[in-house]
Amino acid sequence: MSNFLDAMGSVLSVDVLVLIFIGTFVGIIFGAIPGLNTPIAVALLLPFSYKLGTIPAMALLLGVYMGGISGGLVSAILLRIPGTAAAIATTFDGYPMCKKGLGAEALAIGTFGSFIGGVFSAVVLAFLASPLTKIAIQFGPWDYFGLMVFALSLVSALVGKNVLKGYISMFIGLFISCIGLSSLDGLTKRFTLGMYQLEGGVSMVILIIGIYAVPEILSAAGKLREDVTTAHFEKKRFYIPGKENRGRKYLPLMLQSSIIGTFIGIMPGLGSSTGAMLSYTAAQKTSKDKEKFGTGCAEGIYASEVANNAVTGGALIPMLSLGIPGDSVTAIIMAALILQGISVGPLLFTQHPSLVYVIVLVTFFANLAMFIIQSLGIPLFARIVQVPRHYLLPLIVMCCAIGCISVNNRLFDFYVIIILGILGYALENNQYPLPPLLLGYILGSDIELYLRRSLMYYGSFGECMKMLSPGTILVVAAVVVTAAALVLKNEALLKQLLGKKGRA
Amino acid sequence: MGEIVFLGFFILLCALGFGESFTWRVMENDTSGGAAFWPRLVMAALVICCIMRIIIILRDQEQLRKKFVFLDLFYSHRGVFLLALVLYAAAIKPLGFLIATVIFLNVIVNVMYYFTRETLGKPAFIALRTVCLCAACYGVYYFFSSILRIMVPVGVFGI
Repeated sequence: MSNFLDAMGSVLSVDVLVLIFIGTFVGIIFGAIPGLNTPIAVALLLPFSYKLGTIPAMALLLGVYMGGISGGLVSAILLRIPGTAAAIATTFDGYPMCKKGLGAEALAIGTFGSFIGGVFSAVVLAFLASPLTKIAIQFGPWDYFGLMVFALSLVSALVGKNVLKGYISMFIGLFISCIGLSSLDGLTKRFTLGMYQLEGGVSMVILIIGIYAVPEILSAAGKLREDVTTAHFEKKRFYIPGKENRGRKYLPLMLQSSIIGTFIGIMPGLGSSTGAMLSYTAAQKTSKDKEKFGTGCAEGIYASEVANNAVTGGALIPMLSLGIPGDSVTAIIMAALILQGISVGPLLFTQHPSLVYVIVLVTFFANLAMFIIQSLGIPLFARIVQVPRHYLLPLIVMCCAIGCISVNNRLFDFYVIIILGILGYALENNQYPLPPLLLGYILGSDIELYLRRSLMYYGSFGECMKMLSPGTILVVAAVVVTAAALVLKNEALLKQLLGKKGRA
Repeated sequence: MGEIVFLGFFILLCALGFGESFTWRVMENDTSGGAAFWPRLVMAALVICCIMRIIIILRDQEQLRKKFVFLDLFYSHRGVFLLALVLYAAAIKPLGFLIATVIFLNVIVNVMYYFTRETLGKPAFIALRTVCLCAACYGVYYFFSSILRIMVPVGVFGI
């Protein structure tokens, strides 16, 4: 208790609170601009944090982390261009809601959902860090493989109307993830066409801009004379969701999404985009109004935003208790702690117990700061969609250009986004869902890594399947989900394949 | 029919990739199938899915006649925008980011303004628009190159 009070005293100082607000604000800006992302923001602020001392440094960096994950929702909702990979699932319902003229309401729902998810994960971080980590470290490569395959099959089968098109999209994503040096051994240059720029593979930022931003810009360029969407917003200073979009009926969904997000966060490498996608598909599956998903419903935005912010607290759990960073941002935050002379891992809880509580409290206050800043900024953000397209589209192109050049400091990536944009346009406009492609790309290299490790360890795929482990159960579940989706969602497909009458 | 061609492109790509994968090295002690194992699985699965989709299209006359949305990307306003995008990408290297972006923004905004309103506006408004676009461009350039220290391409003019 005394450790908690010490931590509270440290965090409630003016300089720490100001740094939390500054960090969160910077994070929101970096999250909202396509091409910039949270790891870049955290990395840029790392040198400043070195001079600040441990607690102010954590305030600044964790503020950026929380703000960055949530900031992606702004462009995801208003422009259908996810600022970060975490906000991909937010586009499914956020953008349709914005097109209905409810952009401000969609932003308010997303912000509120992010706050709930972030606070939930901070509470979990405070009370369950140690026991949850013990469960997570029992997951071996085969279990990770099973979890990823299950996530992919769930998203491919449930997102979009046609299961087969979902799977084609997913395999295209997996194919793109194979480009570059082979994982595990790093011996072979795969599908690089002799270009050294492709040896590192296609960067995630490049893929997001190429697949989401460019097709959207090209589509919008063909509809210049259509009326610009007017975001409806009442004149008020602080936005919270309307009565019909908050309240008790959303509590079970928020709890479910928070749990999924936190659990995915604990698993190293899975990341907030996987958490948000899984949460969205789970929400769609458990909802009474399944058909509303994808048309601009509050549940869809909550499912995605609650989960992606819940991942942040979850990702801090293995970092603090085991010294294993859950994602690239937590890796940089861990580096910041090491620079301050603090070794993270099991000893942190005994050597610096108050610091653990400081991190928990900063996580909480950073989420609060994010909620305040974004709720205040909604009228400003919502005006973006009122900018005429002939100004907005070229300016977005400029931001995308400099954003993708900044990833690897090379122009080559800009050429790649044009090619990916043409591919994305063809897929998007012919009802091939893009989320499975992106998730396939995100998880592709890890799936390969874990599968090959499992095969090396157990000998063969058959031997892996003989084990009664979470991995085996999840692989079987993935097959069942696929088969069930094919039968239930698309009976006509089977009939057509078998040569009977029907329509896919 | 367009969709069949589109799926055929992926089948061809996978066939070429499959062939290439046989040239990749496998370490002697690697019992996981080597670097080619996973890509081959992915390509085989993609080909199977594409073939299934082609069978479905061929069996359904309605789907066979359905227009595949792709070529409209190269016509009308979209085509102009795509062309401008390609020229912009090509111009960055010789002209540098700043000059290429200023030219791109001013040309495409005026062209799109004309497409939308069928006029370019009064000369004073065009001048104001040009100044604002140049200022926005320089602001972004300054933020990224001077504050974030990101190396943006420099052209023959040294900026």
